[in-house]
Amino acid sequence: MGRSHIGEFEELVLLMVGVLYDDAYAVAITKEISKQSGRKVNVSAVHKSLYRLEEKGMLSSRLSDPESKRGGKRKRLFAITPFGKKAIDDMMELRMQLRQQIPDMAFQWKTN
Amino acid sequence: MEDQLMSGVENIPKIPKWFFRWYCKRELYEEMHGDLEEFYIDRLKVQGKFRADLWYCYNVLRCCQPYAWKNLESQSNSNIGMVRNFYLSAVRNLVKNKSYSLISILGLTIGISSFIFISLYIVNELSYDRFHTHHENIYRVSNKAIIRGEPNEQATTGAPMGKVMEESYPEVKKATRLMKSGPLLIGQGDYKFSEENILFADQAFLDVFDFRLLKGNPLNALKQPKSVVLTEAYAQKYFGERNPVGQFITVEEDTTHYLVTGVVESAPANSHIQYDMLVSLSTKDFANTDRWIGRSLHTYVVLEDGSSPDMLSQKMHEIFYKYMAPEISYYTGMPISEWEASGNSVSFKLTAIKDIHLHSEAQGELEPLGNLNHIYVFGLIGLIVLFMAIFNFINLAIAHSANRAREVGVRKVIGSTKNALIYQFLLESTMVVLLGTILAAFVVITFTPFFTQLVGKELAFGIDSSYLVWPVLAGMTIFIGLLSGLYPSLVMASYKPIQVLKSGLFKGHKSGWLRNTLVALQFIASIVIIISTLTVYRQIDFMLSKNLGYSKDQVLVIKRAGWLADNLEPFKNDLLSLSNVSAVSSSKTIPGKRYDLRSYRRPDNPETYLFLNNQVNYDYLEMMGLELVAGRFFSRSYGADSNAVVLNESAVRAFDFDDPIGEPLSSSFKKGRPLKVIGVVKDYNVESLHKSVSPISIELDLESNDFLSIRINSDPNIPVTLGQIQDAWLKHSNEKPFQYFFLDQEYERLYQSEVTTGRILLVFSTLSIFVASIGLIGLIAFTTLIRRKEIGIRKILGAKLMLLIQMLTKDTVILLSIATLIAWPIAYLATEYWLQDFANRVAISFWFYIISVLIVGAIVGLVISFHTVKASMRNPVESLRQE
Repeated sequence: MGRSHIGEFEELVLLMVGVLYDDAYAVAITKEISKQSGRKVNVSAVHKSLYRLEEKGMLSSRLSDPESKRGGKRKRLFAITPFGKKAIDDMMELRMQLRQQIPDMAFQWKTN
Repeated sequence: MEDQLMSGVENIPKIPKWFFRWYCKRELYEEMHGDLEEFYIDRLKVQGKFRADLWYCYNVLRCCQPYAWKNLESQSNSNIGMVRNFYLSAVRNLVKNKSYSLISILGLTIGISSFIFISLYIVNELSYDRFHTHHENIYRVSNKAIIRGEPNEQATTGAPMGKVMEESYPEVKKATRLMKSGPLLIGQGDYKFSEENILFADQAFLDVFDFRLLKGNPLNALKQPKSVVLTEAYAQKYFGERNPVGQFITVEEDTTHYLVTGVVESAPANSHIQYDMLVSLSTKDFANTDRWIGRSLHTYVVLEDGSSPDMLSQKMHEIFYKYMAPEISYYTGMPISEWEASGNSVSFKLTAIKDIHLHSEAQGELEPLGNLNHIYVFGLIGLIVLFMAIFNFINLAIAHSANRAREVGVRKVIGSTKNALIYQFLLESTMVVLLGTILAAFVVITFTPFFTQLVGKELAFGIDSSYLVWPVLAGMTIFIGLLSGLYPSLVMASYKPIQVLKSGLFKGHKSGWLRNTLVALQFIASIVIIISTLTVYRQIDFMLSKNLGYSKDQVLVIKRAGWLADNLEPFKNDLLSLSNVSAVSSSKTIPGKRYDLRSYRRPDNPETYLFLNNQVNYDYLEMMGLELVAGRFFSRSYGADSNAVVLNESAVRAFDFDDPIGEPLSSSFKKGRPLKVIGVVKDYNVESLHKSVSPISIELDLESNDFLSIRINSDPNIPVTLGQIQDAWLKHSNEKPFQYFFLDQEYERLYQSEVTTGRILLVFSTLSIFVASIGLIGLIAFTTLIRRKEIGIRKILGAKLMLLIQMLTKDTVILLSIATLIAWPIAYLATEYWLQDFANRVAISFWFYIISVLIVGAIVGLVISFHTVKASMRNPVESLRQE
């Protein structure tokens, strides 16, 4: 597996950055994952994934303007890079391919 | 709106925030902390400050991961390379100054291991009976009586107490009773042993207390009469590998069989209930009666959560009036109001089970109690040994700081900051302490058996019994490391490069005041310790050698002489025919053992007096060596001696008799039968010398022969005599076990607690003085070394040897004098406080004060003279030569 390999949680974060588009920063992503997938996520895990994805070149980032809501601190907004999009597409494609290769037989659970 | 939010951010707890800032990469700090702040403010609004704070702390910890950490390489003071360098230079320095390192580490090892040992002991004492799940709710009922104005608390109460409490008060959930048995002869097959440590216990015993039953049914193991539960060790002893449950053992008689119904865990060392065997209390008839006065039992109750023991004990006055009062009236023959009016009363007290060991003041406890004062003394001496070592370490580090001056100078020139140097020296001192702690841990593991022997009891905890020990040791290491390293590191880090690198001698930092203070403190502690140890030993020696009014040496006592039954007289005659036996007599009890109380009054006066009572056979006076001051002792030539009583002088004083001989007395224990005083013996101590002499009454009872005492002529061949006595015993007792002790050894056991304290004090004070001495050796060796050039110059200029020695010792002598002046009053107060406990105490000896200073002076003198004489005798050429 090359540099494009990403883990399941990283994939979720990557997708969520796309979903949130213009407002993709750690707090929003954390809340959105909790909301949409129903799993409890700590902001630290999101941070970690974001920085790793950026390191891998799948995300780019910029700092926002200072926000009064954050005690005058700026936040880091993330966006998907073309390489990131390729990673998502590759993964989706692979999954679909594999899904189609599953024979119908495998889903027939008649017990004798 | 904005203000509100701002104030929300300000609520963030400071310490975790500081921690976050400390570990977080600078470039990530703004965005990450901003995120945390957002969450914090959200939670503050929804969940309140406490939960928001908690979540914030949790998040700070969660975020503390490598991706967020500062890059170590880029930080000047936590650089791994630099820590490596600190480590190396610390090791090199330790290896280079071997004697310095050895003294520091040896001292710390002794100090820390002593401290650990004493902590283990103290933890053991403080943890008594806390292992029961319901220990918060378990209380022991004691009987607090005032008899004729004399308060007296007994750990036992009447047999029906438990049942009545359970029935009368809803807050009493359960009750159970215990009785400690005297020795019983237990047999299984061909084995027969006399067992001392047997408890009779109610069915609920295993339910109330956390003593786990390994085999058998806890619900009914102690239900049926004649059921017995053995500890594992005793099951092994009698049944080997066989399953004992369902088997029988014999008790006393070969024909009395008890059924083994279970195997129980042994009680932990920190339990005040100890047993080898448990027998069902239903076996004992008296335990099932409704009689309140007479035999009594240890009663424990479990209360409902949150119920107040004080309120309950108040309510228990009802029990007294309803049940006990009628019996008292019956025995005393007076209505209860009259009995109470003459200065008598009974109340009940509930003692929490965890307080029994250290705080109970009751008589008749199951096991010897602990003493809170001794715990303070031990804690103090543990700290003293530890601090002696720490002081050594500080002193030596400061003394040696001059040696490190060049290193400091070079480091500073290269660009080290002051903080980095402080870190370096703190790290170094912590390393040395760590080494000491590790060695101390080994010492503790190795010497634990010796320590248990020293304190005379098993401890519930060892250094390896809990994982909690490791963080505690680590914390202690860091604490001692920082404490002892702080001042030396501040001193060293503040050297100015230009001064220390200039050619010529750097004299080192003049921190004389600190060094002098620490040395003086060591002197003070040493002097106080020596005086205290001497005083404790003097008191113990006094108690053991005091003339007690009877002669306790050369008396052999055989236990359970009742087994002889009708063979008592033939056995006595056989003994008396032995050449080395001079007197034989039997009695119900002997000095040092428990005496029963009996009440007496004059027929014309309702006032009753409680005396310690013994029932003896003829010849008891000669056998014990008591001195008769008036009248006569029991004699075979008088017929009516069964109604005669002999008093001691204190008892006579209590009655205020002019001439006691022939005076009539009556005692409720003999149903008011009249007694006549026939003799008076000189006062003698039957209890510990903590108390003054109590009034004693002696009556004649040929059936009371629990103990048979034999006075042996002082002859060199005790074993032969002992063999002859044993042969006679086996012949007359029908091969019952021969159990004996010597009266003087038994007497020493009264002072076991003092003897143990003395021994512990001796061992640890020796250690602390040893630690202080090696510290002094190191210190003086070093100061004379620094001054060797000065000494050389002085010699060239014509100074005499004596003058040089005087010059080098002057400071120490002044310090010792000041220390003496401070130490004496402290020692006086300390020993006075300790001696308060004794009714018969030694006077404080002036000589101990002189001796203590002489001892310290001698040690100091020895150390100094060795180094100073060496330094003064040295050829000045050697010390002044320029390298």
